[in-house]
Amino acid sequence: MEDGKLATFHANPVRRGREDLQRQIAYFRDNQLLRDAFDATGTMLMILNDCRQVIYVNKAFARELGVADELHLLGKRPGEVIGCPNATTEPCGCGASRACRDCAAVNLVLQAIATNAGCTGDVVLTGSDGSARIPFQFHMQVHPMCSGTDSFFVVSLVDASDQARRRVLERVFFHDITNTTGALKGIIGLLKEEADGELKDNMEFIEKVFQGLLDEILAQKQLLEAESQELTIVREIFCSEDMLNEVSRLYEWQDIAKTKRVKLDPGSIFQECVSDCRLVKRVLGNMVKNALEAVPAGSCVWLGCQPLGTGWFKFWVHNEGHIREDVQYRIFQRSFSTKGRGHGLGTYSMKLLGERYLGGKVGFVSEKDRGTTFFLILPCGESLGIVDTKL
Amino acid sequence: MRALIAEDDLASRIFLKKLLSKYGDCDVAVDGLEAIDAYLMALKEQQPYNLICLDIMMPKVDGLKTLKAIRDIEQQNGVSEPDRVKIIMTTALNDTETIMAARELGCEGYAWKPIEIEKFLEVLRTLAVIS
Repeated sequence: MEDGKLATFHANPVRRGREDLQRQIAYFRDNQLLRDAFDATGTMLMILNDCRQVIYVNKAFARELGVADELHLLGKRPGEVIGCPNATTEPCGCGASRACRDCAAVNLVLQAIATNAGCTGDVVLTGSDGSARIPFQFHMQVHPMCSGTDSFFVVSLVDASDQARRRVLERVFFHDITNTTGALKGIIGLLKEEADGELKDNMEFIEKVFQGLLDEILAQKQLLEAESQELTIVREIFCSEDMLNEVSRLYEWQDIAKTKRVKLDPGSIFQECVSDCRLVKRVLGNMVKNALEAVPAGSCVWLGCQPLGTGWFKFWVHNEGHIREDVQYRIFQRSFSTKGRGHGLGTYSMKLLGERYLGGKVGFVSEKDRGTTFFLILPCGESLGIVDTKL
Repeated sequence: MRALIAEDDLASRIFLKKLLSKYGDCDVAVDGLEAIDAYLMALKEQQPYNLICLDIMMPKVDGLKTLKAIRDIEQQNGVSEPDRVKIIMTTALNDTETIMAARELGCEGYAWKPIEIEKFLEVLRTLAVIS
């Protein structure tokens, strides 16, 4: 290694000597099989030596950097390759500046070198485009590999900029729209109390329209949060009877329920349980909505609750329709729907929310002569001991 | 009951004011800075608030910083815990960490939006802000 009294505020600045470096570069340059394999991934890949020098970059990486000949990149450090402004503030380059102490990319590589183990994280790399500094967000993975006495580190980068930007926009959008729609619904609800006669009826209708709109917004918000693992569970004590009553009224004013009825099974049990009320209501609401859409005018959808073995119980939603066998196999797939484009999230979300977040089991039974029953099996939750409170 | 509502969303402000006006006088602020000013003014006029509703996401000074500022002022003035103003955080974010932070800073409660009127009033009764 090239020794020297080199100044650094963070990472070891020592680099491999020219001869050593050329040997390492040649190892990858001459190994066509490895190069083909790295190119075939389609992901941006670079290989570093234990002094954090770039030994190899694959075609995807070179293309992303806009370089036709990657040879002049080799031997440099990652920050120097992408044009990071912090790589030029100290003579020893990338990793040596004060700012590099907080660089997640440098630190992930250093961690992999120190532990000789793989590590992953989200990083922001600042590149430059002429005079402008451009931040790029990546999901970065560093994995060690050996060849003889040489240690190498495969660094893969997956662009997360669009994803991250979209999530921020979504969060702001859902925050603002929930705020305003919820408040408008609240205002109408309060005004309704002061009105009489036809005006009161009209306000009641508007309040329900707002409630439906709010419900749709919250359903989308919950689904996005669930998919990105950001959904927070709020456990409360509730009883099955209240839940069934509430769910049975969810669609009473909507078109899909105009000529149909939702009835409660008189044999349903009264079960107290601890779970996330909003999510249980969402799962059962989706089941009722699907059932209402599946049956012809004048039909009835049944809703009930029954005990299972110790500590478990089952909510169910039944209708007289039958689900074709080919549809049954794909019913919980995301975006699968028999209702055309823009549908297919209801069954998918009931499975996702019911199983991953509520710790239950979601399924269905469908027979030609007995109709279709969707169910949500839940733990009673008494053993949880902890009940979160909320307003 | 004297209440202060700090909300940057117009509809939310109107809703909370309409709801709470049934129980007493209500002032409104559109950001955290205005809320702190209103709180100080009420102290100066010796007509302190019984209840403050703080939205978490507000411009200039957010709900958490406003909460901390109010609790700091109370501490400096030697206000004992039972006598301090009851503060309820409101939020449309599904963010438990922020709620926990607000708890640690000394809020008495929190309300997820959309606010459920009955639950909200029940908590105000529990806190003895309304009867």
